[in-house]
Amino acid sequence: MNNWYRLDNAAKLFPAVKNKSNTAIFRVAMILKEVVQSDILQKAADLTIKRYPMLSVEIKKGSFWNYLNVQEGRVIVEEEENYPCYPASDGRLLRILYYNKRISVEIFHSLTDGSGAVEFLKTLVYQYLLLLGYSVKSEGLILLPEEMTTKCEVEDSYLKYYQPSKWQRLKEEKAFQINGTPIEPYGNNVINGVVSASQLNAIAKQEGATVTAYLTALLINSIYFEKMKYGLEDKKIIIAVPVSLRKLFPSKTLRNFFSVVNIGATVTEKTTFSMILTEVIKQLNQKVQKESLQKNISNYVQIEKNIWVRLIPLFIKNAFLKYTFDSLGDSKKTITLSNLGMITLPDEMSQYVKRMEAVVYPTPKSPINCGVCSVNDQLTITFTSRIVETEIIQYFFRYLADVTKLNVTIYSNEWGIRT
Amino acid sequence: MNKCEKCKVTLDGQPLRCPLCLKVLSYELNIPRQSLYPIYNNEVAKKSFISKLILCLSIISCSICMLINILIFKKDSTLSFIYVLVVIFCLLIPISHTIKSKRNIGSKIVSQTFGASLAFFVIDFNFGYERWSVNVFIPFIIIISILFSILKMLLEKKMMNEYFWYSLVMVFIGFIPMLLFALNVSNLIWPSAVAALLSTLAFVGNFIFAGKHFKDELIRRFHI
Ligand SMILES: [Zn+2]
Repeated sequence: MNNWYRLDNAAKLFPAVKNKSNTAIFRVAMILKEVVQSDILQKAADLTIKRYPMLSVEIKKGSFWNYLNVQEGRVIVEEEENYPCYPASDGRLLRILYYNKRISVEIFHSLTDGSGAVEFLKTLVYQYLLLLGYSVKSEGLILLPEEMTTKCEVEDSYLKYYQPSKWQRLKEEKAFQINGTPIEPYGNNVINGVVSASQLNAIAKQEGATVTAYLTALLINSIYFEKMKYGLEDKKIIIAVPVSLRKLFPSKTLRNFFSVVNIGATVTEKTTFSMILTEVIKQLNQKVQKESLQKNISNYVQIEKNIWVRLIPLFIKNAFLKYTFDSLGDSKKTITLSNLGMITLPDEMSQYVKRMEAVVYPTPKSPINCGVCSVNDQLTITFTSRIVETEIIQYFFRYLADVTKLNVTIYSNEWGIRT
Repeated sequence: MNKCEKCKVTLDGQPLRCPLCLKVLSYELNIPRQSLYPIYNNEVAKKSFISKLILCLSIISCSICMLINILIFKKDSTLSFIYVLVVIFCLLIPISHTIKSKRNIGSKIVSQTFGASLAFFVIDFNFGYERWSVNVFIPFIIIISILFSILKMLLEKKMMNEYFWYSLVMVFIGFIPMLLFALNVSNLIWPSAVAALLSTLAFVGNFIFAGKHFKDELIRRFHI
């Protein structure tokens, strides 16, 4: 196997834009039913990392591009001490953390996306349970540590599935942006809400929507009610929804393979929730389609493949990427809602797992972001916030509890309250 | 589990306040808190305090030097505080580069070599420019750095390809004293010649043992 990798198309952005306020580190976590044993988890990590060489890397600067160097050292499992998705001061790109009953994996986004991280976490927890002496079976749902890593799993699927096409200029208007008082001390306040996945799914279905569409619409509604109802802002509320491309293309890659679609709505006093929902469903149907997503990735891949672009020295590329991200990427959305979907675990394994969490890092212009993940009928909605104000999140969960009559359980790391 | 009546949600983990409406909650005593997140202690703040302290002290010493310099300006009409400023700057940058970051050891050696050389040169220049810095000190700093990197390389064999790149950089640095001699900046040849020879030998030795790594490294660093 290779001892170094080129960065894939999406991965190229993150080293250029990462800093303290945009760590580009996200977390996926499983909460087990028993307290985690660190020595066993370390053994499981040592076995699991061999199966995922693309995650055991360090990032290096070349003259024209950054690249990932495969590292031979082991991943040290640590007890969680800091807030979720804190910046890595030592340059590590993968962290395995445990706290009480939670096993978390925090990954720099250049290595992989949410789906890749979930695969890694599944293997890790599976191996951990095996080492504890439980008789769990993989049922073909887990990538086993003893298997060989295949070439398809380390491929850059962007290069494989793009199609040369005419350059499209993407026109999108500026989005409304959430402002607030920064939390002191600097860090992420994480607020999780747990609901029943099947009940939420049933409620969404009644309205002819998927869970993603329903939550997106509710988020637009919440932002409008708490921030824009005073008629001060007429900008669009735009929700950035990352989409895994593995469902639309036959890719098995464990590296990045996602695209982002922007779902937006202009809300006025007369707009009802169901009107927003109809609009969201329409836009999702339109944008989450093979053709339109392929056009989307082809745009970026063609820039990457252009010989003149390739010959620009790295530091100029980075400056350009940073400018583009600040002015085009980050300011064209209000908030990110990333739904990793329903994770299926083997029957024997799922009895040891209580629920999962997906934590999306905030960025300077998008100080609140949202991650959704479900397992064992427990759907966790995780808001990560850099600001003191909680009205949007409060409206969101109160709506779920009050209007849809779901049982909502809230827990938080209380950053800024206890600290 | 607690409930927040206002938000109509159940609260887990015994929070001090409702995370949504921030209402203060009270609990019956003697119930142990089930912790879902660690209790944070702010080490991050401590670390940044130390680096702020270093910065603050260097600003204070610079301004004192500047003040003294201006007060005695009539007696000694050179602006020597500028040199103090440069020296502190030269020391400060490599210190923060080395301590704060977990950079590759090779890049640390290179930056330290540059910082120390520049600092000595400025001191020499300020105190009459007798050329002891370019003649002896700078070549010796470079010799020490090269010896140090050879030692490191021998001790940690797996790091060979890591150092390879820097041994190449070291060749260039090793020839700087010779260049200074050629340009008549320095006037003593043998320390410069030793530095140049040693850096060449280190590179040749490295190439014999790790030539394959070198090719790999070139491909990595220059892939387009
Ligand atoms: Zn409340």
